[in-house]
This record gives sequence, C-alpha cells and structure tokens, in this order.
Amino acid sequence: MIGFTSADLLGLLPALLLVLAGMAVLLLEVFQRASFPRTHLAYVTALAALAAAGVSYLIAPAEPQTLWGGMVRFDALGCVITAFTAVACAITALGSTRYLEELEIDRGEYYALLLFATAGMSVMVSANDFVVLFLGLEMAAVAMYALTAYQRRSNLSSEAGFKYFLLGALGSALLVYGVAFLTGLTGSTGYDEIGAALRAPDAARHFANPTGVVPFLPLPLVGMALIFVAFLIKMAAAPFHMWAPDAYSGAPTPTTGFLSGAGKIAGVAALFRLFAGPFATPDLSGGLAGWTTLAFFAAVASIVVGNLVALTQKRVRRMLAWSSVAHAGYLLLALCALGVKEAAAGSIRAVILYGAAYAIANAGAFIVLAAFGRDKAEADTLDELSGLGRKHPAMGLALSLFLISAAGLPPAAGFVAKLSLFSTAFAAGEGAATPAYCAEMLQWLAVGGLVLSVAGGLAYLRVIAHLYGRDAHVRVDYRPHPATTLGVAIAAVLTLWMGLMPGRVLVWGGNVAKQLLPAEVQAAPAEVAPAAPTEAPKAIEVVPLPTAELPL
Amino acid sequence: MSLTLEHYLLLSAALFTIGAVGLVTRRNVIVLFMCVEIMLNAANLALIAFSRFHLMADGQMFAFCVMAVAAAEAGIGLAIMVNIFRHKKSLLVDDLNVFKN
Repeated sequence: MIGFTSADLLGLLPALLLVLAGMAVLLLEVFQRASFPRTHLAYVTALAALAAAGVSYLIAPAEPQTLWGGMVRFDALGCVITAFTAVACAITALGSTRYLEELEIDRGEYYALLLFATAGMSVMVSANDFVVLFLGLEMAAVAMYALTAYQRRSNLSSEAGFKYFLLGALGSALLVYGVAFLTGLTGSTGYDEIGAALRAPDAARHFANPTGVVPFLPLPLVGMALIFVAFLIKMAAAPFHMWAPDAYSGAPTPTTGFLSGAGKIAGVAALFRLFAGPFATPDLSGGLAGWTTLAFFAAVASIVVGNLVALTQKRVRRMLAWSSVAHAGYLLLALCALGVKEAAAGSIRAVILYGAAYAIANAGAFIVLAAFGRDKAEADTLDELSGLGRKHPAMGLALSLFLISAAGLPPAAGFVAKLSLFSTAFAAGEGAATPAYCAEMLQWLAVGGLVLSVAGGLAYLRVIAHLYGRDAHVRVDYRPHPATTLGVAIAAVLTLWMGLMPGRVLVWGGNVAKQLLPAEVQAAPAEVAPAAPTEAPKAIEVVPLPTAELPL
Repeated sequence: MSLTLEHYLLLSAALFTIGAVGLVTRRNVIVLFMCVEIMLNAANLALIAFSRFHLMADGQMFAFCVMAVAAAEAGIGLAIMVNIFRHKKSLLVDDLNVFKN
C-alpha cells in the first residue's frame, strides 16, 4: 500500500481548494431560499478561485517533484496553468450572476460546476500517469457538459450540451483505447515507464511487430495517434471542431468564454507535458510517432478554417466560436515548434503567454456579451451590440480591448503573445537539427498563419466598428451588476498588464520550459532570438532569461 | 487451442469498430450513446488483456476508473437526452437542427 505525506497534499492544494469550495457552494445552496439571488455564491466562487490561483503561485516549486507515488507531477507548468484557469473561472463566476438571474436559472450548482471543472483542469495538467490524466480530463469534461446544457428550458442549450457530450464521450473512448495500446508496452500506465519503454534501445521491436496480430500495425504508434486525436476533439481543433460552434453558441454565454478559453489551454498544456515527456525522443526532433507532422496538419486546418469561417459569421458568439478554432490552431503551432530542439523552450514560453492571454480575454469578452443580453436573449447579433461603446463607454472599451487582444493587436496581451508565437515558429524553421522539410513547413506555416490572423482580425474589428457605430440598439437603461464590473475590470487589467509588461509571464514560461524539457535539450542553445518584425516594439528583447531564483 | 492476448485484442478491435460504425450510421441519440459506451468497453477489454499479459494491475485499475467515469457520463448524458426529448418529442439526430436557422 502506498502511503502519502503532507507534501503530496501540498502539491494538489489548488485543486483541493477548488473542490472544497465547490462542495461548500453546494452546501450553501441547500440552505438558501429559492427566491434569494445567488450573488454571494458568485463572490464565494470568485474568491475561492482567486485564492487557488494565488496558492498555486506561492507553492510553485523551484524543482519539479513527483508526488503520489509517481502519479502526479508537481511543477511550474501545472501551477501556471492552474493559476490562469482559476482566474478565468473567477472572471466567469463574477460575470454570471445577473445573467443567471435574468434567465431564471440562478442556482448554486452552476458555481459548483465551474469550480469542479477548474479543479479537473488543474489535476489534468499535473498528471504524470494516464489514470490521473483521464480522471482530471473527465472531471473537467463532465462538469462542462452540465454547464453547456445548464439552461434547461432552452432548446439551444440542451442541443448544444448533447453535441458537446457525444463528441466529448467519443474523445474519451479514443483516449482510453490509445492508452490501452501504450499500456501494452510494459503493463504500466505511468508516463515515466511508458516514456522509458518508448525510448529503450530495443523500442523498435514494439513498432515493428508488437504482438504478432497485425504485423504492419505498430500498436504504440496507433495509441499515440489516438491520444492525439482525442485531445484535438477536446480542444475543438480542426478537423474535429464541428461540435464547437454549436456547443459554444448554445451554452450560457458566460460559460462559453470559460469552456473555449480555459478548456483549450488546459488541453494544450497536457499535450505539451505528453510530448515533452513520455512521447519525446531525446532530442525532441520529430518524435517516434512523427507527431510534429500530425500537429502541423491539424494546426494548418484549424487556422485556415477558423479564421475564414469566422469572417462570414453574422452572430458575435458564433464568430467567437469559429475563431476559437483558429486559436486552437495557433496553440498547436507552438506544439509543432516544440518538436524542434532549438525552439522548444521558446515554444513553451509562447504557449504559456498565448494561452494566458486567450483564456483571460475570452472570459472577459463573453461576460460583457452576457451582460448586454436584451429581453433574456443574449446580445448576439451585431445589431444588438451597436452603440455599446458610446452608451456604456467603460464596458465598450473593455470589450474592444478583449477583441483587440484576440485579434492580436497592441496594446493588448494578444499582440505580444502572437508575436512570440510566430517568431518562435519561424525560428523553429531555422533549427539545424530538424529535417529540412519540417523546417520549411514551419516557416511557411508561420507566414501563412500571420496572414490568416489578419483575416481573422477583420472579423473582430467589424464588431468593434459596430460598438462605436452611429445607431444605438444596445440596452441603454441597463446598469451592469457590480460583480460583472469587477470581473470585467480584472480581465481588462490582466489583459493590459500582459500586453504592456509581458516579461513576468514570459519568465514563468521560461521556468516551465526549464522544468519540462529533458536535460539533453537544455544543454543545447535553447534560446532563439525572436525574429521580431520591423514595426514590433522591443517587448520580447527586454525579457530576461529565466532564472532559478524566481518562485514560478 | 488456448485463448491468447491476440484473441482479446482482436475482440476489442472488433467491438471498437462496431461502436465507431454505429456512431456514424445510427440516428437515435440513445443508440449513439450506446455506441460510444461499446467503444469505451472495447478499450477497457484491451486494457485488462494487456494488464493480465504483463501481470501488472495498472491496467485493471484504469479500467475501474473508466467504468466509474462512464457511469457519471451516462448520468449527465441521459439527463441531457431527457431534456432534448421534452423540447422536441423526438430523439432522432435529424431533429437536432436549431443551429441551422
């Protein structure tokens, strides 16, 4: 029997805090009169989530540790991602209270589900064993199915929930089947054991003829591909994105920002841990499964489809849903760069900054949209938002900031994030150790992605133009709830902070890279000077190299 | 002739394929859900077969977790389906089209 110590508990403290808060919210709900508004539950939720974020910042270890008998990895990646998903959860909770009241679905379970989903994401990114990964993923997913279908009386919400549920369950089945094949290597589900088996000198044996059943079908390879596809489904990356626009436009508006933002970054972080850990070859180049190529095609498809379809959408939420597919593509672009030894550290820093910027700005944008719903219908068509910028200057400005961030323009966080992402991808193309075709592909993808992100940016700018348009159809007499204002303020301040002073987040990203990448890669000159475009400010250059002294 | 690992893997692959084909061809949402469950159980079978093959309990433990999670998923999924039936009086995926308009 494996015992556990207080150190084990400390490593999972943020997740424990979130789960306990969720249970407390459920208990508070029981002792609540039905007609009484649940605003205080929103505050409790936000407080607990912010506390979890603070705790995960404070306890971040200087050296990665393995807890719970090797099942949980306690390191900077888990802490950073937990912190940002928890902040997104807090923003969402604050922005939900008035919205839920107006739709008459104001119940405490909603907040408990938000907290449980965040806890699941935290467990998922800390996993060092496929059992823990699966449990965390499902803890988040089951809560998110319920959140999507939460608006019981709405036809839309139920249908969105069902589509999300069915595709999510399919993803889980693929994941488990994939894990089964990897378990077949040694009988163990641990990342370390599987990684060791895949890297063993005689590993080719498994790939040539694993069991004798189907001599031409290397089962571990199939397993890795299945796991990768499962994550593509969960992240709504093309070509497995078809559920996302429906699910995102049917879910209660505030939760959509949380599902599409926080859900994506938790998924991509778990993929980074897999591909930098058990699935990595010692020099990270290509990998046994050639997953760089897989990630490359998924990234291309997502960026192209997401940006182009977003341009054609009339409804704001559907537009944001489609462009979230594009954002999944950008995150996968960073995953491609991880496969190039010289750019690996840069890709991890870029993905941390990009994920943080996207999750926060997305949560903020959706709570503003939720606040300006009219007659219980969400502010959805462009028309219903027109004039927001003039009638409610602060809210209009905040929404513009979030959209600008998503479009990748200064001064918002999205600009620096896109800059570091594309420069990393471009630099990855220069990597000497890479196969030539891979390098060239990545450079073309970086250039093409940049062009397409301009196209996607137009979709956002069109919304901003409507906010400041001549006619005003927005709810003029409406005053946002103080909680909503607080949530929007938190999101706006963080988006500006990361946009103007990204150094801190990049340092955290550097620490994540140092703890995540194998030592052989660290020895290589991991720093690639970002090839900054001419008009770019020197924001990236001033960033100091990650140092061990910092807590994160 | 005795049963070997290969037999279990082939059975699991067959079950997984049946589930996948059903997911594409069937129209009733409950049947679709059953197809996904068949796929999950196919994966469980493979896990347990490998676990027995290596004489390590990891895979069996994972299979238990999968069953527990599948039960939770079924709870959520059936609740959503009841809700859909209340709105539509139908459980055919062809009727799930509110987003088309």
